[in-house]
Amino acid sequence: MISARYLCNWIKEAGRGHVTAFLSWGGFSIYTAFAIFGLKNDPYFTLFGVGSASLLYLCMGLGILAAAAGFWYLKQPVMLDFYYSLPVKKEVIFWSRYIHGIWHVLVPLYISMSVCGIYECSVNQGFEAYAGSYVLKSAAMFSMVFFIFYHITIVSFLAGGRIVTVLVLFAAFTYGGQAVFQGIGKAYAVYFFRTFYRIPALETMKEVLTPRQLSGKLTGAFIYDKKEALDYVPGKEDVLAALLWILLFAVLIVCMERRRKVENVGKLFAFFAAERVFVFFLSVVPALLFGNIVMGSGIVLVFLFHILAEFFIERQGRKLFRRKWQMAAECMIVLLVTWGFSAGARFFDGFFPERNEVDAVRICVNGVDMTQEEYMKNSFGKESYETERKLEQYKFTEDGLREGLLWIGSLKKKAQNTDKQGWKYSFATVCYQMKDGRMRYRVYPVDEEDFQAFSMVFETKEYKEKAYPALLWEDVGDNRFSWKDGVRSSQILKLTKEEKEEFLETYKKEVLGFRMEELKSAAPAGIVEMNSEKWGEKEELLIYPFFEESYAFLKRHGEIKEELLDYPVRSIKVTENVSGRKGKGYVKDGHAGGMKVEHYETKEELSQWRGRLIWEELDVQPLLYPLGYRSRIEAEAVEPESGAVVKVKCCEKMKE
Amino acid sequence: MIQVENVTKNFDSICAVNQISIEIPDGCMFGLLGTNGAGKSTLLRMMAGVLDCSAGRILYDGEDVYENPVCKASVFYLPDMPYYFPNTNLEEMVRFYRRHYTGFERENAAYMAGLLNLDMTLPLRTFSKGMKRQAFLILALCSGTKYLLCDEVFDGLDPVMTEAMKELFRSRIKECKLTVVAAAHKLKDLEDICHNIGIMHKGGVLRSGDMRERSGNVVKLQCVFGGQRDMREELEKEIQVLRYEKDGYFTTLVAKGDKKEILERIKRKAPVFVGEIPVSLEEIFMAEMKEAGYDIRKVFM
Repeated sequence: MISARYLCNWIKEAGRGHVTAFLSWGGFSIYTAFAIFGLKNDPYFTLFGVGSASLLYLCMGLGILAAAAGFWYLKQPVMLDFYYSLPVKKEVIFWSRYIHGIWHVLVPLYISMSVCGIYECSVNQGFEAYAGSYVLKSAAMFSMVFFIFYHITIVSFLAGGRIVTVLVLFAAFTYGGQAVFQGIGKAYAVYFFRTFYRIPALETMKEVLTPRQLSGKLTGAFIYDKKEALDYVPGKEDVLAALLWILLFAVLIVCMERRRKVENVGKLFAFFAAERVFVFFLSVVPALLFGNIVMGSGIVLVFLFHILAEFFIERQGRKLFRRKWQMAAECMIVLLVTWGFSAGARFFDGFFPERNEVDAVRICVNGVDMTQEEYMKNSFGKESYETERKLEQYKFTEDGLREGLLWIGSLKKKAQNTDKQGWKYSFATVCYQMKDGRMRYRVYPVDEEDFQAFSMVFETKEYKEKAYPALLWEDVGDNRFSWKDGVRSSQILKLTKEEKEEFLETYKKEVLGFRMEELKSAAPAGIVEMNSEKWGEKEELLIYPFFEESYAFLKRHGEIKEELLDYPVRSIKVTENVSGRKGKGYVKDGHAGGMKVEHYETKEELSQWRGRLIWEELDVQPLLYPLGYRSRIEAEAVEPESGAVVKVKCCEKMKE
Repeated sequence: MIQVENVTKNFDSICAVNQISIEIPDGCMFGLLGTNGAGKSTLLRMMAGVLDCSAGRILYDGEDVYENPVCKASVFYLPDMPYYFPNTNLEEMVRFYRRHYTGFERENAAYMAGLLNLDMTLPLRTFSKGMKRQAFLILALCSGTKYLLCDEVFDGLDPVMTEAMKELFRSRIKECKLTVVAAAHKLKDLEDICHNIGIMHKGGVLRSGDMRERSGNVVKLQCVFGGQRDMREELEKEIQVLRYEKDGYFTTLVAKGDKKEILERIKRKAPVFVGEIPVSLEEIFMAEMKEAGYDIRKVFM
């Protein structure tokens, strides 16, 4: 009867303000122009789809803006009177705007992806093989990102009666997962679980319930390598989580659209249930969040936050206590969560798998086979890149697993009765790779006795293979061998094929044979770098003085110096920070701005450093062979072949 | 015909409209009168299908209006603060409404705009408050719908324009058998145009119907009594006095009852002069309300 009543006409009507179309078509035009410009200049590093952080932000932003532009009318009583008095159903107005938003974002997105894909094919022949899958993947993943944020914003507009509540709801949906699983879950785990390092399930929950992070994972926003981006396929659990977000919020939209009442516009919430849920979360989540700072105060805080939330809604003193049962339930939940973590600590800290339950164990002992820098960056219970890298490297499945579990078993027993002092010496971060695929991380204190006991793991073949990967190299006759010790950065060792094989065999034998205890006797004398011509790989072989045969071999075949001062050293500069300024003047004599600099240049001065200097890169056993870093030492040595002056950063031997 | 049957609207604990039942016949103008917050706008929004009733129903020719586009096609609602698209002009609004109301009279709208000196190409945002009201009244009158609902109908119009608009309403009602429901809080706006008036107070309709018809037994007299006597107490004993005012020699009296009998009883008091003057709608209301037990001053003041 009335043509405008039909949905398609109303979709046109929804675009009256042209805001969504302007933002979307404009945004994608600019994006496409920049992407093409990037592809033209650098096709091997420019990512226009998966891996593009700017496209991720564009899709997220358009999801929010398209929803805000399309459903702004839900917040305006004047507009509602206007639209709802027209001879059309409310749902037609709503869904026409919904489709309009999708149309004006997805169409330019697909056009942009196609244009960029076609253009890249023309400038990068290597891309042709990936073009179809990459463009489709990108279109699909970025559409999902758009839908997640589009739906979240629409639900916020439907549930919130005022703009302030729309913003609060949007923030809650966007960061609620992070607050719950990181702010509460992780913080409580850190507080209650003595052996906590990581709980992957918590992290996964945080990621999938934080739309920004989930979107990043879906679209590979963290990828920089082009090849990796072209091959990138998001995890099934991420795609599933994204679909759940989209579907769950779609269901909420359908339900809310039907039940939303015009008269609720202007109230804080358009639904009574939304108000309840809001009060619940505003009471429980901050109470648990802040309760973590002062443990045990959660019960008081939940009470305060509940009253605050009620005041925020009603602004009437007499109504602050209208939901007594809910308040009681909130207190109960806070108590249960706190009690749950407290009770779960025994289970968590007491966990130790049977041998037949684990596929592998990963161990990172702080201070073993790591540089001074790595050692300093690792701190107890704190997740760090260094620890993760070591856990990746030291994965044991055979004899290392057997010995590792035995060693960890003894740590676990001690951990339950160890006070804070017990963690001071060192700690071991452990990951049990269970047969069901789960990873269970723990961190245990390591005292000196435990550290000595670690030799049972250290001396296994498996550990040595992980710590000294040269053990796995074969057929090295064609490889290039060079020596470096700080002064010489790449002195080629002129070895025949047979000598190279012989050297590696000797080295392997000595590596497999040496004991952890021996590492206390000396720092490495230098490094042999092995470069594979075939594969382009390189491996560094640490040469300890107690690798007698290998060391002797190297001395025979190269001009190997035993220590730094065997080279012609011109000077040694020692820079020390001066913390106290007790003199009359602001800067004392011999000091420059809080720094004390000393130069050693004469033969006599230099001779006192003999046997004391070690090239920084050779400091690889901070616990077994600790070196001094009280000052920064820089030696100026002359490289014999070229005569060039080389500045070598050194540390100081603590003992002879 | 519009039938409002036992309609109630609750906003949480507040009852904005309480058990209202009205029947508005076709081809008449029904005025809804009441103070701010009386429930006029809420009732109109329900009648326009914007709000759902908490109880009861609103029927147009037997059809429920809520979420019924077929029924809504015969109703045009003009709120007190009408919405218009940003940067739009009257011409564009006409085009928009034509798409929704098939009977919209485009030429008529242009004619009326010309009559009122409104430039249809100028953005509506540049119009003054009164001009905007004129523009929307034109849109309402030309919508071609059978029913027209107007909130604060002549609000913002100057007296000359109000009269012109009233004239347009009269002619449209006559020509098209238009049924108009107009809400206002000033009696003046409605008294000379509405056939029926309903008074709303605290969510309920106190009185409704054709007030002129009911004015038959209300009489307004101007008298002069000798010696400037105050006759209030004496008169009140014999006749039902609704209003008594004394200004110098002149006494103005609004009374309810049989006109002849009232005149006879006054003449018995030997007045120097007695004469009948026209009774206003307000005075009819007073009579009606007083009879119903309400103090009209509490309703309108």
